[in-house]
Amino acid sequence: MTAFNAIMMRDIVLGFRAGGGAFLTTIFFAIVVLVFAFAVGPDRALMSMIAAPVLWAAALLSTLVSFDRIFQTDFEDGTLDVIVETADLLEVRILAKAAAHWVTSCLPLIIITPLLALLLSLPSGTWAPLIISLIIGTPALSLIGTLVAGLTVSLRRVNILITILAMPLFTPALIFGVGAGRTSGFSDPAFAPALLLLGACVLISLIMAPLAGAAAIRANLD
Amino acid sequence: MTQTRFQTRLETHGLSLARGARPVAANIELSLLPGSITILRGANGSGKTTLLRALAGLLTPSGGSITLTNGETKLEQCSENCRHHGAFFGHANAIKDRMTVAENLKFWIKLYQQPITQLDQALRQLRLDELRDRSTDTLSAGQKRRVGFCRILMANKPIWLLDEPTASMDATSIAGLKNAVETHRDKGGCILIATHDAITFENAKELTLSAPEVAA
Repeated sequence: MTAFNAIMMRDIVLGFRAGGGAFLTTIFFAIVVLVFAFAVGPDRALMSMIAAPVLWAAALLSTLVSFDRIFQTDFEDGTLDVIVETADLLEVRILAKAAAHWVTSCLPLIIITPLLALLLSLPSGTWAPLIISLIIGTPALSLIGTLVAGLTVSLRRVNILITILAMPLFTPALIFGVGAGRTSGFSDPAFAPALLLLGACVLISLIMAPLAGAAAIRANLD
Repeated sequence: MTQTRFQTRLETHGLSLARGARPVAANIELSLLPGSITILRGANGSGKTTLLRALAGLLTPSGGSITLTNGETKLEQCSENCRHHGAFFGHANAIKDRMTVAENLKFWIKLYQQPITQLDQALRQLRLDELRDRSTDTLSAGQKRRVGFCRILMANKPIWLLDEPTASMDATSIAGLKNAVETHRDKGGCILIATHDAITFENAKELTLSAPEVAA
């Protein structure tokens, strides 16, 4: 547990320090949403209808650009060797990495979402389902991203490859996330089923990502 | 510090190594006894780093075996045991540029599950006290190498696997490193050093790797 905390806290601290990229991800997220807002124009009815899909798609795109950070610098400076060498269960350390990624890349997005929802003229009653869907669903993005980052760690300039590998795995989370996020409120009959399926996506990633991620890291160091 | 002597012994039998599909070294017979220093030599590309990585449990050998014995107990032959008993100091220092020296050291101490008192001891031993709160990106290459070596000092592992440990170090730092290696030997540790430098130790064994003959 000491090592889990040590790795997670170190990654969080580095993420928020200058050059860590946590703020860049957040700015990128806001820019993607703004691009949609400008492109759609002044049609407020249309805008509020597509607000949830746009915010979810923007969250997905902005996390994609942050995945190469998860293992790349550790691989280059030799820290990954130490992390593997001292690990009883490498899978647990992969989870620590994913948790740190969520805190540095997904949590800031969720925090600024209300501001962007306002910009997209989303009716205030529908904010809660959207934010709940992001809170429940974004861990799946971090977990899958950590797995894909582990697969590509020994390659260089991998952002496009990461996108190609991660996108199909993201699709279920995106579909159910938007499904829950675009409902009119908690009492909407579509909300609960979509949220449960979204939770299932997260649970599957929670099992799959550490196992496959650890295997990928071991194979890449070999 | 009171400490029981290390008693771990490492032996290889007919060890062959490969990087991907390319064979790097074959038939390596090596034995690291408690309280011994072995210098590993060989031309560039003769497989020194690959051998150290294999002994550290970071790379699976393509053939042969690595045996670890702790006192009289023979440990199960697997890379996990290698990882548990070895401390590997590679070309890269495993230092994070955006953290201070002390922050880097504290991180390693947690990974190796060692008492925090190790930090001051290691800093003092390598004369890094005054650099303690410096951000590591302001350090010179030799200073970074010394900070990296602190990790091995703090790891409390019987087997030290050092890959070009003296790279970019000045004479005083090399003397400090030699001193640390000799202290570890006296505690029963075994040390394998891959180097091109003319660094010498009393009673050190030498092993020279030669590139395997390439089948025409």
